[in-house]
Amino acid sequence: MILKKLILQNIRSYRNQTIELSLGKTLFEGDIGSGKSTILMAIEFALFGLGSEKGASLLRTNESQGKVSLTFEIDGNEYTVIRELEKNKNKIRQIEGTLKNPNGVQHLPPSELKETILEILNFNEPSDPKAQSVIYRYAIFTPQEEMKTILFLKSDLRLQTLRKAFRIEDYKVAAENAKEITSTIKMKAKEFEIRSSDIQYLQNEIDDFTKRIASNQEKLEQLRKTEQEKQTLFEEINRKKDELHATELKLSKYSTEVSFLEKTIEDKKNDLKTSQEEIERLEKKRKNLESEIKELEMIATRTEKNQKDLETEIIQLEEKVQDFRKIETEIDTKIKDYKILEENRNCPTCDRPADPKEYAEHIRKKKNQKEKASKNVEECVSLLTKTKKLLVKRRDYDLAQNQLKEKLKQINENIDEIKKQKHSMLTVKKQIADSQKKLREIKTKIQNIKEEEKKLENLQTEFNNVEQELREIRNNISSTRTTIAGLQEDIKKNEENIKKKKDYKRCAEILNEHQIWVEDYFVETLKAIEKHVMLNIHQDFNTYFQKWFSFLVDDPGKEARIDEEFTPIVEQDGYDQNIYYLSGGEKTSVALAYRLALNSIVQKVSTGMKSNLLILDEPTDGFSKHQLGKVRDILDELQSPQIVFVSHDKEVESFADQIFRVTKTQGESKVTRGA
Amino acid sequence: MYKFAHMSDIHLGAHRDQILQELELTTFIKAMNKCVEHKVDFIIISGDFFHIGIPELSIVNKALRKMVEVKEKGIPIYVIYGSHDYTPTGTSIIDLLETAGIITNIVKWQMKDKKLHLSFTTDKITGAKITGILARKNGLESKYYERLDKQNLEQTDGFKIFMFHSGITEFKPTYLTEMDSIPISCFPKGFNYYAGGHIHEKGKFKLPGYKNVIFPGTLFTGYGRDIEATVKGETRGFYLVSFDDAVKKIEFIELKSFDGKYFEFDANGKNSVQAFKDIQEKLKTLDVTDKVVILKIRGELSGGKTADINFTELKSNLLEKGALHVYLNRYSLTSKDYSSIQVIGNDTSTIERKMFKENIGTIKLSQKHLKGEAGSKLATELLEVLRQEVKVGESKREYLNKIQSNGRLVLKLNEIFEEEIN
Repeated sequence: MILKKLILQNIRSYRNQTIELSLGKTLFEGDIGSGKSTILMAIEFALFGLGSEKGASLLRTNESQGKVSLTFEIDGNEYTVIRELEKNKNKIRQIEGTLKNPNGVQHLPPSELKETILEILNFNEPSDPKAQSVIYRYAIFTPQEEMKTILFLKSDLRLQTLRKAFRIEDYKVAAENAKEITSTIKMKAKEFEIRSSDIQYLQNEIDDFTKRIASNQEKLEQLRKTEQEKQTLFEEINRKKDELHATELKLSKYSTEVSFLEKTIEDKKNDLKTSQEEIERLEKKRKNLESEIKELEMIATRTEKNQKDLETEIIQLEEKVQDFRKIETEIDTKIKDYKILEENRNCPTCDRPADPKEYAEHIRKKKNQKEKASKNVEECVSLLTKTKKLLVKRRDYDLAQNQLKEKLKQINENIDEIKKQKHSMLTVKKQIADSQKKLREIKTKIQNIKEEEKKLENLQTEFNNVEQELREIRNNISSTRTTIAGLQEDIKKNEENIKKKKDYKRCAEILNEHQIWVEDYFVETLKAIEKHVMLNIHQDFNTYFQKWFSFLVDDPGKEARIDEEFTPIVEQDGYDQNIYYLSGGEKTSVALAYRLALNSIVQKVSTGMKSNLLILDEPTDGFSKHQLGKVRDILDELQSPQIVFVSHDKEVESFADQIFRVTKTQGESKVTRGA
Repeated sequence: MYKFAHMSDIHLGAHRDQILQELELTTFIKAMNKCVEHKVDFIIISGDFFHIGIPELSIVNKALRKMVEVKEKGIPIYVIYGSHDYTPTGTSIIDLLETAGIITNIVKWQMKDKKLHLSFTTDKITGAKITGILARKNGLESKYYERLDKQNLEQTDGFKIFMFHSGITEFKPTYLTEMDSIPISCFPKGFNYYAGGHIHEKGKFKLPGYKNVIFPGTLFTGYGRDIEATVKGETRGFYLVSFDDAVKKIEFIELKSFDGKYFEFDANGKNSVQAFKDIQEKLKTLDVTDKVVILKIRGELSGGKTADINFTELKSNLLEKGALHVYLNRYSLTSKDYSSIQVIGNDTSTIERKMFKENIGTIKLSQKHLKGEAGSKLATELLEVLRQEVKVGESKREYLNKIQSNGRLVLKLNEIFEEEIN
């Protein structure tokens, strides 16, 4: 932006003033209060309106209308902006303004006019009609009273202002807006997520259903198997039952048979007993007979004499005994006589004395004789006895022989009978044994059958159970099949649901990715960008600030820099110098250095900002002559095509390419072009 | 036996802080009293009597009262211009005081045959002959030494004092190696006493032909570094020199102006918040009552800004605790966050573009338009939409709706947002 013409009508101390401006350094020089600053105020008013100023501060006292017209050029295009103030019942307000641009004339309300101007100048800032243009204030013009203000602002306030001016605030705005966007993205994603949050649940359900199906199928399989087994078992039991029923019949038959056999055995046993008894009797009889036979056999036939012989012999013997007994008695009488003669010693018959010895001899002889005779008697008696006995025996013998014969016959008959009996007994025994064997067999069979019968009972229970089980299994199979079908249906539903929810999830994922992208990349990068831009600006600013400071302040021990928050720090040998305690010239130096650095930076960062104009308001306040000389160097160094500055210091005249003298006479300011 | 006091770099008016101003003035008054006490025959001040050429008059007034007292006791004060006494306008307070007869500027010279000829000022009582060279800012006085006619000075007999206000190359303290200085050979030889100024650290030197090259250092303290040295134990004061036809005794008269407390904090590796907290904690235990505090914070912060450390608060806390004054040195405090960043472009849009491009790799996403070149372009487009501020007449709701709608449009999310959720 190059200022070309400024017209003031009834603005503060000016009635009607036209100022033609040209390139280079333009100085408005005049005494304090002559109206220099009004020119700068008027330029700002023309461009941006009243801002925070009151209309009364601009409109000339006692005038009802005032106007500022500013003509400026940007990129070869000329624009004229006209703003007017109107007083109505003590109220001064700005009325519709005019903008002449290469395309024509626009009549715009003040706020829109400001907006349009900001657009033309490419100042990226909110067009708040109640505030001055921040960029203009920093990059182009700072009123003198505000020059030092920035130095003493609270650091956070200063930083905030600078951040705006440097467009660093953009990143904060963008980050906040990003937050707004991510907040809605999050909400929307949350909506999708909530809708899709049960995918896993549904999937788990499917898994569960699948598992349940599998387990039901397994169960079904098992049930089928069990059914098969039970069926087989059932059939087996049935078969067994049939078998057992047949066995039962057998049992009955066997029982009858057993009874019969038992009867038979009993009979046989009785027979056997009878036979045995008979045998025993016969045996006994035989034994008796044998004993009798033996006895009979014992009856010896000591003679072959028969009974008749013996009877004859006995008669003879009896006669002989009698004979011997007669002799013996005779002897005995003689002995007895001899014994009396011996004892008496005379003979009774002849009476003659007899000799005893003779007679003892006679007695002894007679006794020998008698002994002989007795012996004969005895022998004959014994023989007779014997013979008699023999005869008895013969007779017995003969009887016995007869009996024996009979007995033998009987024995033989017995023996035969016994044999017969024994044979019969053997047969019976065999029959008994056979019967018993058979009985045992049958009994075993019966036992077996009975056991089988027991089994049958168990089997029946089992059968019942199996039958029940089978029924249950079949019911179970049926219900399991129903369950499986139900589960398959559920799975299908869940799968359809999941498909839908996966779409939601996909949407949520896309949104989440965007959220992550905005939060973790975009916003984080904004922070990094902010840091870099800030640091870049900081470094540039610091360089400019240090450069202008060292230009203006002569003390090599003093250094100036800015901290990260753009707070100016003046240090002497490393120790902080309180800016308040700097001399007036030093303070102005710091302020000017800061101001110029700011100007350079704002110009640089406001890409496309169509202004390379610089307006300085009393920039040399408190400067020594030496420092004034430095200002000239700085103005040259700045290489701004148009620099407008106001000063009451005549020393600066020599810096300017054109000088306007501002004078005030009788309350009216006049600007005249200096020599 | 005569005595003179040699002081320099009083820098009256250096401090704007009322307490320091007071201490500074009190120290000067004490020094003057000591001179009276020691019955000195004269006082020499080797430059930088005042901090600036035209100091605050209230300070001058108070100092003047004391000087009048001294003068009335028959003790003359001989001075030279120091680098701070010089004014571009040519007239400083030194000149006014001289005119008033309070002090004598002993620098008297004339250029003849491109040579600088100095003349002596002779002390009436002792007969000591005093001359010297004034100082200019930035060591501009070096040209005077280059042109100095030494021969005449060397040939003058008597007890001679050479006053100067410059660093001497051979005797410069290490911390002043970069400072302009004058080689000793530029000085006239054979003086009994070389009364130096400008160097704020006291020092006694000699070289063949130059015995008694004396710098008393600053009387009080001019700058933070002086205060630091004082607090760390450097004694301040002036030299009391006894002489007849030669220097007999050089004695340092110490003037303790204040008690000090030095606190240094190494912020290396700490972030700004932690560092600030640590400093606050440490300062709590520091006894600073009636002390001048040196607060030196250095090192590279691992994160945050150096400005996050609220120095103003730290200072005011110390002052509240009774500190007389707080000197802050944060010159060597940097932050890694700032020092380690290599700015990747000269202008904002380049930085934005490059950063978006550089950072796109940090995020792993599946959406094509969010990745790579497309992603970084999208970011740039989105930034353009989101950085728009509220327009005049636009309600907050309208603005946010616009931002939302434009943002979604850029992010290609309109379709999803229109998706009906059943």
